[in-house]
Amino acid sequence: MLCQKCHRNPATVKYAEVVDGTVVHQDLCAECLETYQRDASSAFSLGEAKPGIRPPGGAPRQAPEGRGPARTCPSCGDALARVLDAATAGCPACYRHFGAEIESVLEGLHRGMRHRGKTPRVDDGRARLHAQLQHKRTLLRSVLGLEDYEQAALIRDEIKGLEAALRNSGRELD
Amino acid sequence: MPVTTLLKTPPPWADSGDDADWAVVGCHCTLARNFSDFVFPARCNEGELCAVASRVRTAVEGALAGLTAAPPASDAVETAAFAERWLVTDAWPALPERARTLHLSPAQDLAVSANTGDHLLLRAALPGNRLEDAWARASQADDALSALLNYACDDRLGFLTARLDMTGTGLRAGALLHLPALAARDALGGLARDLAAHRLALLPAAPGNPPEHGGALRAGGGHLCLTAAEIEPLPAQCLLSTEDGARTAAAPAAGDLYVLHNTDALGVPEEELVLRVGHAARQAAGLEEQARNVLARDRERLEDRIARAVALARGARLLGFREGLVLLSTLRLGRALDLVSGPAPGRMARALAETQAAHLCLMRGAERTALSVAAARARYFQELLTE
Repeated sequence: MLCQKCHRNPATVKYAEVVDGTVVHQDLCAECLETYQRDASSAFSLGEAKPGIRPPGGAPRQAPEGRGPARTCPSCGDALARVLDAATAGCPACYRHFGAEIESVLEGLHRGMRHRGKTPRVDDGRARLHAQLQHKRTLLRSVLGLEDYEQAALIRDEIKGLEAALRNSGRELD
Repeated sequence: MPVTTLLKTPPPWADSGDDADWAVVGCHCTLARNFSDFVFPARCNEGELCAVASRVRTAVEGALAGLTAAPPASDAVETAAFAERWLVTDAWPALPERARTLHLSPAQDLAVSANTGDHLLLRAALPGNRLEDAWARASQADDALSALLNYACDDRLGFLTARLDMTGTGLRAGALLHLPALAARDALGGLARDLAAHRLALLPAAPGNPPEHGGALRAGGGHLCLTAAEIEPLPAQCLLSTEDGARTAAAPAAGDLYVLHNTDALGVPEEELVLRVGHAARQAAGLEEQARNVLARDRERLEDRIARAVALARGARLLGFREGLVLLSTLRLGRALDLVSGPAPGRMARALAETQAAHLCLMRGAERTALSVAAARARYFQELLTE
C-alpha cells in the first residue's frame, strides 16, 4: 500500500491520531510520519505504532515484487512512480493496472469516487472493434519490444484491417 | 482561407458584448476525451498521434457539420496565433504538423483539437460570464461526437483522462477575471482561500512560454532614459492557454488578470461544476465592484495613476507585453470608474488578444523580433486611445 499522504512511497507505518475523541488511522511512509511529528503541536497526540509495524527509523520495508512504484503499465510502459508523481496517466489501461494507487490519488483530488456526470453513447459493434484494436496495439508494442519484427508486421496488418472496419462502420452510422 | 483572415474576427472570449459585467472578461468549458484503443498523447509515437488526429478529423467532419478545418499554418508564428486565441492549448504548436488538427465554428466559439494532453479537446468559449451557454454548446458537440467515437470511459470513474484531476467528467469550466481593485487592495489571498474550500482555483495569469522565457530585454537604456522599456523575448510576449484557461504562475498576475476554474471533476455532475464556477465568478465580480468603489474614494491618486498610464500609452515607442497588460488593466479600471474616456472595456479585452506577438506579426506586419513587435504594440496602443 502507498503512503496516504504523499501517494508515492510505500506505507511503512500505521499512524493514529485522536480527533474529537475518535481514533483516525493513516498508512504513512517514514518521511511523511517524520513531517507529521515535526509539525505536531502540544494538542496533537501521536498514536503509538501498532505492534509488528516497522518504526519510522527502521529500514524501509521492501515492497512486494511487482507491487512497488517501479511497476510499469504493460500497455504504455509508464512507471507507477511517474504516474503518481505527475498525477497523469499514460493510457486508459493505467487506471486498471494501477487501480488502487491511482484511486488513492483520485480520492485526494476529487469530491467523490463515483462518476455522476454524462456518459458516452456507445455502439456495441464499434465498441468491440475498439476493444480489439486496443488489444492489438498493446500486443504490437510488446512484440516490438521483443524485436520480433515478423510478428509485428502481422499484427500491423490486423490493425489496418480493424481500422478499415471501424471506418466503414462510421460511414454506416452517417 | 489564410490564417490572417481568421484573425480579423476577435476571439469570442475577447469580444465582450456586455460591458456591465466588466470583471469577467470571458469564460470557457473545456472537455477532455480519449480513445480507449490508444495510449495518451504524451506516450504516443508520431504514427499514433497521426492516427488519432485522423480519427478526430473524420469524426468532426461526420458529426459536426457547422465546424470547418482551421486554415493550415504555414509557419511557427501562424501556429502560435491559434494558441494566442486560446483555440488550442499551449501544447498544440509543439506537435508534429501531421498530428495537429483543429476544427472551428464560424464564430470561433467552439474548437475541437487533437493530441494536446488528451486525444480530443473540445472547447466552447464565450465573452463575459456565460458559462451555462458555453457548457450547453460544448455538451451538444460532445454528444454528437460520442456517437461516432469510442471514448475511454469507466463505469465507476467516468471519462479517463491523462490528467488525474480531470478524471470523471473531463470538464474544466473556467473564467478569465480582471480584478485590478481587489489586487490593489491586496484582497485576493482571502478570496482564493475561500474558493479553494469549494474546490475552485483562483490563480494569476502568467504571460509567455516558460521553457523559452528568458529575462527581459532592456531597450534604450543609458543616462537619458527615465525608465527603459522592458521587452520580453518573443515567445514570452503572449498569454497562452491550458485546459484550465490561461497559463498561470505563482508570480503576480500580469495586468491583474486571474484564472478561475474548478479543480475537481469526479463525483460531481457537469452542471454543478458549471454553476459553481459561474457563481464564484459573479461573487468575485461583486467584490471587485465594491473594491473599485473604495479605491475611487482616493480619487486624486487614482486619477494620477490612470493619467500616467494614458500618457505612457500615448507616448511610448516600445512596449513590452507585460507592460502593455499593465497599461490595459489601468485604462480598463479608469474606464470602469468613468475617469477616462476611450474604448469600452470589451474593446480593451480584444486589445489583450491582439497585442500578443503572433497577432502583431500577422495583423500589423511586425517583423519577428522582440523589438519590432514591441514597436508594433506601442503603435497599437496609440491608435487604441484615439478610437
